[in-house]
Amino acid sequence: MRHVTDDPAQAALARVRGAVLIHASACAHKGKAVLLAGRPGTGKTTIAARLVQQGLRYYADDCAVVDRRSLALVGFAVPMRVKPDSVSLLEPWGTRLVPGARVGDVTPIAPGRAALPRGRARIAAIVFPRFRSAARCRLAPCSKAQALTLLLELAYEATPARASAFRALSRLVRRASCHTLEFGDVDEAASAVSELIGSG
Amino acid sequence: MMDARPRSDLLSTELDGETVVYDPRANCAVWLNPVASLVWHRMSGGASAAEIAASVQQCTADPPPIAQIEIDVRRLIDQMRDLDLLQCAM
Repeated sequence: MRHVTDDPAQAALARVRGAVLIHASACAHKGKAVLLAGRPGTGKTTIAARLVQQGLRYYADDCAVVDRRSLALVGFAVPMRVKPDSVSLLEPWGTRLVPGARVGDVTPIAPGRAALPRGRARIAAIVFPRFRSAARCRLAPCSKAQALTLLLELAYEATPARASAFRALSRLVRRASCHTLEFGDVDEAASAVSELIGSG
Repeated sequence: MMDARPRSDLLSTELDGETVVYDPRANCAVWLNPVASLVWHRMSGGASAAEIAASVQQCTADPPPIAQIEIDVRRLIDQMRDLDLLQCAM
């Protein structure tokens, strides 16, 4: 499992009672959310940013907060941390994303007012993206067991009550559609993902 | 009887014929395919390797000889032991 970083916001979230914290970005459309779960470098932030530009609401980047009882996605709209290679892909920014000054190796991107989370969202789809340069976009179903195994690997170490988190994630994969996504083009990836939650 | 069974402190769930076994202490998950799931669940009931092999044979289209299946079952059990998923039976 991943470790909670030194980021004080994430450290604080790790202590939230009743939450499962997953290394994922998340967006929603009309109350239906998609989790983009994966390790750094898989492209989840870039896809999420593009989805926000296309009209989805932004719920999380890097640390998605899932209520353990209701399995709803809780908004945690801290600025996205976009790497240099992705910045040019996302320009022009439009009004839904507001870039800040680059800090070290990342550019913080805040959601615009219209992109902020609105209430909790039902997680309808879980996607495990993997960026490969020049790869054709390929969205494929993955088994519920594979999805659960991956989510457990991506849950934050500091998630309290691991047994309870396991049961919650087991319920989550049963009710959500689960997919792997290999992609080389962010627009193709965003289109494929948005169709999963009916916003394509 | 088997000389080992799944550890009682592990959590597991079956999903569409596959199983995920989770060790909350080690924070580690193992994904079992349908055949491994069958082995896992039969082991939980205390079945012997020969009994498990017979179950696998019944569930397999065009199965190999039972002796080969039993060898494979024992190999799989060894892997589970290496992954620290098993405990010695009382």
